Amino acid sequence: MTKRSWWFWLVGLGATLWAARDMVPSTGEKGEEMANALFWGERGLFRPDWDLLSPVASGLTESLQIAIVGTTIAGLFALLLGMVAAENISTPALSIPTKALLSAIRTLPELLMAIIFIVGVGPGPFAGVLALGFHSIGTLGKLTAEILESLNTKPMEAVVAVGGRRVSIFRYAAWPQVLPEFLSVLLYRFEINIRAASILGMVGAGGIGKTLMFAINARSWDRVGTILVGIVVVVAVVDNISARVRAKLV
Amino acid sequence: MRKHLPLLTFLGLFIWASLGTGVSLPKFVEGLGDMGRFVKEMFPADFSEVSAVWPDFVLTLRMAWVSTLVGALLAYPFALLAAGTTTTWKSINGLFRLLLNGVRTVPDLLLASLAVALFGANPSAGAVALTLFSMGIIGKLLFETLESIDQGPLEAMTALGAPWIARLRYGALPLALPQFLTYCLYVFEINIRVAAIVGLVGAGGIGVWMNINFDLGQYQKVAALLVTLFLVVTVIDAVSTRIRKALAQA
Amino acid sequence: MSLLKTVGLGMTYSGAPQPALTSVNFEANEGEFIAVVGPSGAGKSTFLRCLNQLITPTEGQLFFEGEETTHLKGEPLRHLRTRIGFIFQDYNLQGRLSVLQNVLTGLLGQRPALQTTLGIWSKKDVEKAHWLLRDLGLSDQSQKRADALSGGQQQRVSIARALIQSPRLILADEPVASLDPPTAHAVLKDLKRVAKEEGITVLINLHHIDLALEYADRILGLRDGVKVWDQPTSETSESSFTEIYGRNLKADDLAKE
Repeated sequence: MTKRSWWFWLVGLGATLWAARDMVPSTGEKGEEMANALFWGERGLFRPDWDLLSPVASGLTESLQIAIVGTTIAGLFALLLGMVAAENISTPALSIPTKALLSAIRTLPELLMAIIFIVGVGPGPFAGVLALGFHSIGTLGKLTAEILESLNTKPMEAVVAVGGRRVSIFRYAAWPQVLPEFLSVLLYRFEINIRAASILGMVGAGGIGKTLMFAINARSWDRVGTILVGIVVVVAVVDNISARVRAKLV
Repeated sequence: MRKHLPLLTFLGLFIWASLGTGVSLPKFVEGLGDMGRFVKEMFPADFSEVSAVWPDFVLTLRMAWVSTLVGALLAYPFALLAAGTTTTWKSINGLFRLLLNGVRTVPDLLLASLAVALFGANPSAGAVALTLFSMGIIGKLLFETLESIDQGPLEAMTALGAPWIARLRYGALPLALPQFLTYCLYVFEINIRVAAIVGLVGAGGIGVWMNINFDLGQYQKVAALLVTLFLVVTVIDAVSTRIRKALAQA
Repeated sequence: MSLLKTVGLGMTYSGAPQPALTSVNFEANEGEFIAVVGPSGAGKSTFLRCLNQLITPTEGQLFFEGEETTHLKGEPLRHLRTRIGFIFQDYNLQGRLSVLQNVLTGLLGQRPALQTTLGIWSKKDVEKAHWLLRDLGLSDQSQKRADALSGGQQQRVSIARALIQSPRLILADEPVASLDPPTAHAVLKDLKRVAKEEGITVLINLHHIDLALEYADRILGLRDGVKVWDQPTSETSESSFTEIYGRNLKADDLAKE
């Protein structure tokens, strides 16, 4: 190891230790008692309240619906904006500002967007759909542009050589390459969005998050436990299905 | 007909979900005015208190940094045990894959809420939640890298009778290390955004101030915090992207 | 009768110090099977791509079926291309579409845009595609994804794609360079057979001289973008090749069976 890299690691370690100085978790004096209440106690996480099953199921369904609609809407807009942003399809005058717009959208947090949309359309799942949809356009649009920019141009050349029109080049040489990759990216985003949709309700944008917020505020850990189980099951099932479909696409 | 089954299934799901979430374009158009007024109320942003809460910005960054590192350290053994290439014991693989996937199914804010319940409303709660969150992502990415690693060097280690730990150290580690650092930086970028939000449930960082100002209706101060956060995130993303590119070339 | 003629054809890539092709005068008659040979960088590929204007030549004139085609653009250029088949070194198939669909793409310039965009093909076209695939020994593969086929099979698909155009001329740019020698021979045999049956003129770039000697009626020798000679295969000699390769032939230049 060189002298310089020693310095690098030493400074890095020092900075980390400085940063970590008040990050060490401690449960305080009543730690054991608290942990007990939270996990194993009468109303603890590990004793889910099964009476809550039906509201949890309907909340989770709503979260799922928010994720489906939000991701789809985002996908449609992302496809359009992605085309405008792709350097090989669009012109620099359009591509550069569109890319900047997409990255600006990406940095606006979902929860903030949820609050803004609640002001517009009132609390409920529709605001959640809009928040997820808007936020996802940023990432999806960027990825769509990247897919388009990495298109294999050889099949396109072949269609040009047989005298094909522009629309044929798109339909027979570009689209068959773009579609599976785009769907794969969309499904991946859907996996992320189902997680996001389960907490949007904490600010009033529909889904299981509302029930979760009430349970946390009331410190009813048994209820939180039920919701947690529900979320884990739904997310795991969605991940599993999505991964299978994605594997088939490529 | 069979060819169109996936499309029809999707359309069915989309319609069902749209009805369930009450999606309506007129409602959205109607709400545009209110949203516009709300966003207008946030500007001009009031930066007068930003310097006073600057330590909390630093705290947010520290939280993200420490959690990424600790999460990465935890993720490494998990990934090594989960990957079939590095650990040949099938049931151990299965168990650790399940754990990694399990951690990733819990939404970030829910993790933060539970950590607050256990460790109190302070930054250490946020750090714990973010650590688990980072461990999930880095663990999964690293696991996938290890699964697709070049088998040659590992085989050579086995052939010369190296023990398990030496196989990892000389067969797998050198191959996966550059990617590992890339993943850490990538997760650090995500973590800053999440760290800014966990404050909403009291887990420390700048989110606490956003929450307070929001509840007080001080939207111009919220806007100032958001703009500052945006600038910080942009600078760090730019630096991190550069380092990641350099790592990819090295 | 002359099908294709070039007069003083030249091409300089923008920013390149040297022209890739310099004043090539060339004429191809109906039904001929002509090989273009020369070392890498001799301008073989540029020459072929200029002929259907995948690359726009910077100098000289092009004639096809007696008419000047040099400055064609847009629709007329598209129509010219529908009459010329092009076979690429890397096949340039759309790997995710079926073999049959890939063959049908050869007709994209000749059928109404709306119809092909919706994926509607006439029964006659589909039958012709099947017939061509059968003729090239691919009848079992028609529903497979194109990228599931071996290299030799993919190149046959691209030959079928060129043939379905009912072209007067086929341009083949190093069509067997990515194939192993036995497969290369098989593909060239097929190409020559169908060309002779249909009376199609073929212009083919070949890196391996022995393949040119075996299949071509006539050989055009290029070096540094300049036509060095153009003679019937029977009149070529070892010294003709030494002239363009600038050295004696080595085993590398011959594709052994």
